Amino acid sequence: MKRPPTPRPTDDEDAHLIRAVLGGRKELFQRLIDKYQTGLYNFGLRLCPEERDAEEMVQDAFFQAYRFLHQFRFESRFKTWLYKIAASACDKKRKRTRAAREHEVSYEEFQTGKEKDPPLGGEPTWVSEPLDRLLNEELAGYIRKAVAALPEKYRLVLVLRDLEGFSTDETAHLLRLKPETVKVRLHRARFFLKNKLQRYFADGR
Amino acid sequence: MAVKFHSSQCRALAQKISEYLDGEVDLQTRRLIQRHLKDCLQCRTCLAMLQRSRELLRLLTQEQVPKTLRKKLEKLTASGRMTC
Repeated sequence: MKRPPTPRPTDDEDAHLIRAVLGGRKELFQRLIDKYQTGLYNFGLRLCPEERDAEEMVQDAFFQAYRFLHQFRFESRFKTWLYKIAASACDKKRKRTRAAREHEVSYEEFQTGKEKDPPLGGEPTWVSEPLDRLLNEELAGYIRKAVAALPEKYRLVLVLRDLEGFSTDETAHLLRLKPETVKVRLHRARFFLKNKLQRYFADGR
Repeated sequence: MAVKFHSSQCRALAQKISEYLDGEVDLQTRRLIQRHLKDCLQCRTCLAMLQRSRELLRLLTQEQVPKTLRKKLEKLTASGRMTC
């Protein structure tokens, strides 16, 4: 049986900061907060049921990370470790908020093999138009809603992979899933978003 | 009249297209997909739409952290307990 590779110790800027914090310069933890708070807050907004929950999650995540920093093993990036704490905090919030019910998503919206035929003339214009001309407030709002409409297990993977930039293996580690499961969920989530956008532009927006 | 989008080959490709986009398929699969894409406008379009969706998603602006939260976080290192 193939053994998983031994993780290489991380030796990036964050790791240096963590070593300094653990060595007594506790004030340096603020640099890690400054670096990740915006990303983590936005992660929370996409995953937690309420804005207030996202704020609490960010506080909890940094507090836990600070408190248990000595348990950081330097085997993964600090960001992965922090988001693992954050994802778990979001999960707790969701479980506590019974009102946060999953949206129903039809099978058709995930379909990857029978979606609408592309236009006969080739690529639709939204695929090749300059991005800055294409993206406006209305479209941004539509994309946000489409992401929010995804069931949580797909949304989580899409956000971690395509927005936060985690690799498949990091996402799998963070969510305690097999890499294959991450790939399947990401694949479905991407097609879901693509189908939504296809419909948006087909409706003549 | 609409053209039938997916042949069985297209359907097989569709299952791998997301991994292809991430450069996570093996060399043999990558070559197969590239060969197929050359001849299949529908799959090329599908791939282009997936790429564009991802680009649009990444362009969404981030919400700023509320001032109240920022202040609370600033106090964390001063008041937070560290068990090391």
